[in-house]
Amino acid sequence: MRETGQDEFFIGWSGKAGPRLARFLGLVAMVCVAGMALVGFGLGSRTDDPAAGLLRLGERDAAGGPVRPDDWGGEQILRGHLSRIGYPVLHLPPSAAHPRGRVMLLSGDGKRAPEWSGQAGPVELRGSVLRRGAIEMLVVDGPAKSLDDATGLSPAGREPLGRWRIAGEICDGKCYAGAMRPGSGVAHRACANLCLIGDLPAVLVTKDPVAGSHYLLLAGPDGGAPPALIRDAVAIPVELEGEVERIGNVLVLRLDAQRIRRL
Amino acid sequence: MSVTYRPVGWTRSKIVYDAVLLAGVALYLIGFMRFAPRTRLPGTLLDDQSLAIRAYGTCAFLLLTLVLMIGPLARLDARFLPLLYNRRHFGVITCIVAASHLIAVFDWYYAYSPLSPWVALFATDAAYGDLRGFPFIPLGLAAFLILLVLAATSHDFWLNFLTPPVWKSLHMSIYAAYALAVGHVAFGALQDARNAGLPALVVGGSGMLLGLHLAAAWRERRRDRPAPASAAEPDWIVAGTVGDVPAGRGLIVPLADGSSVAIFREDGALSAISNLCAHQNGPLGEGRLRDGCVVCPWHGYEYRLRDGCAPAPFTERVATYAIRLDGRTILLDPRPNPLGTATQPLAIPRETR
Repeated sequence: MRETGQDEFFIGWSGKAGPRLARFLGLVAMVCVAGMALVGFGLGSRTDDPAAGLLRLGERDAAGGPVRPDDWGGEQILRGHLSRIGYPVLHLPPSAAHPRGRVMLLSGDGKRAPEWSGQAGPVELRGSVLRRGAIEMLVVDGPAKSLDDATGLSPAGREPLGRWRIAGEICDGKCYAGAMRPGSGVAHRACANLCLIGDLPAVLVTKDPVAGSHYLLLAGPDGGAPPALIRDAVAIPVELEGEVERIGNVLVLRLDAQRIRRL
Repeated sequence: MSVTYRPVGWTRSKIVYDAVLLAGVALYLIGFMRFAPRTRLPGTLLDDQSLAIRAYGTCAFLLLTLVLMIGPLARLDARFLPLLYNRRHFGVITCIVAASHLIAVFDWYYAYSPLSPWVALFATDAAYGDLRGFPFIPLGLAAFLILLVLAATSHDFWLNFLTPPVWKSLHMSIYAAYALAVGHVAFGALQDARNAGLPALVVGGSGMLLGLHLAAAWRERRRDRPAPASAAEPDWIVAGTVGDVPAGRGLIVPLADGSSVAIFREDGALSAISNLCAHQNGPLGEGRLRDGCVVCPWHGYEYRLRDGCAPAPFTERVATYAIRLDGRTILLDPRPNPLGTATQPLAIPRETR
């Protein structure tokens, strides 16, 4: 062991150190303080971009990178048909951009489904829209205002696409759409599971496009909520199997609970 | 040294130590959360809350790595011994930074939910059956709880209440906390790491820590070998020669039971006392002789060489040992004298000095 000189022996309570030892300790202190500042700056500037959290998965932007969430939209008032496909969704009428109709996922405040999620039929909803590529969610503010059937608002058309086996990552639809950044990856798993426990929609973000879409809304085999055991498979690479159905502009995977496989 | 309990026995050294440490932590967090984001590419979406979670988490990991480096560094180079002096404050500050990480996670990932965060902590990530996606949050929580227990029992009251061997054993669980912290990061943030910063911190930090401990163990492997028994008197052991005892310092003699004895020379005579300080088992043999007392290199506790007792008003005591000379060879009786037993220093004949 390298020794200090006899006169350099440090006794903490004495508050004194020999000149050589004091110089050495001063140098150590400066290196530690400067080193921590540099490491903090370096790690902070290199912290992963959450939009790169699913580099291999999901939609691509024009430059070929992962598509990023839009900024939160302002408050909107939307009229559509409220129904339940695993979770409550709002069917908006067909438009030029969405000739088959436009299905919007719904959320209440925080990690909760809208309080009136048992309601169905034509409604008017007020809230802000989260959007990341094709996935859209209305974060509802206030109650659903029921509308007359005469408004003509009806559910989007359904088209069975057969049985599929699909690789991807299970996320919660709200965080992935942009409520949390990151809204994906294993570090976000507990948060995602809290959203699923709160009855927010589970989505499968896919590795390869399925019938042109990179995400599917998950539902149980009977069209109800997917089984709770999907929570063990959230935020990791998985392969799911089940019947796929196109409803408006959204794909729904009616999940076979026996066919959940970790990759 | 103190004869009464005070929340903190402040000394100039502790104030300087804490100031340097707090400055390092403050600059780390400011650099991470305030200056670094300005260098990120436009369009980066990491929110302030997630940035804070990462800043506190990486800072706690770095502090834990640094505090564990002090021990082996002091073994390899005595100039680092002063860093040991206030290591408990270092540990408490590390615990506070880790708590900030936990609170930031609670306030973001576990907030806005109908489920209690404490229930959610155990209910939202429980897939223990597969190493891929192994729950990493309980690992981090366990590491934090260990840090919390160590911080809460870091005061000298607990050291005396638990006794130094029990207290020391308890505080060795800091290594378990470090292993859990490495697992927490490895099964968590590292799974989605896309650049080298975090892997470099975890792999580089833990690798350097392991390397320092191995280097210190390698250096001391010979010193830790028990001294051989005397051929003439099997109950005594050969401690070394008179020339092995450095002036003003101690010759450390390992015993078969894992403890050790420190032999000092003062005014042409030899005396032997336990090498383990009654405070925290610090190595008295690496201390210095001052006015007939051995001064512990860790926290400055003092013991009279002739009877192993701290000078009044202090009450700490360490055992003395019987020694004799066989020519220039020092023989040591490995059985300690009862605490407080005064011994006559063993005069070194002029011809053997």
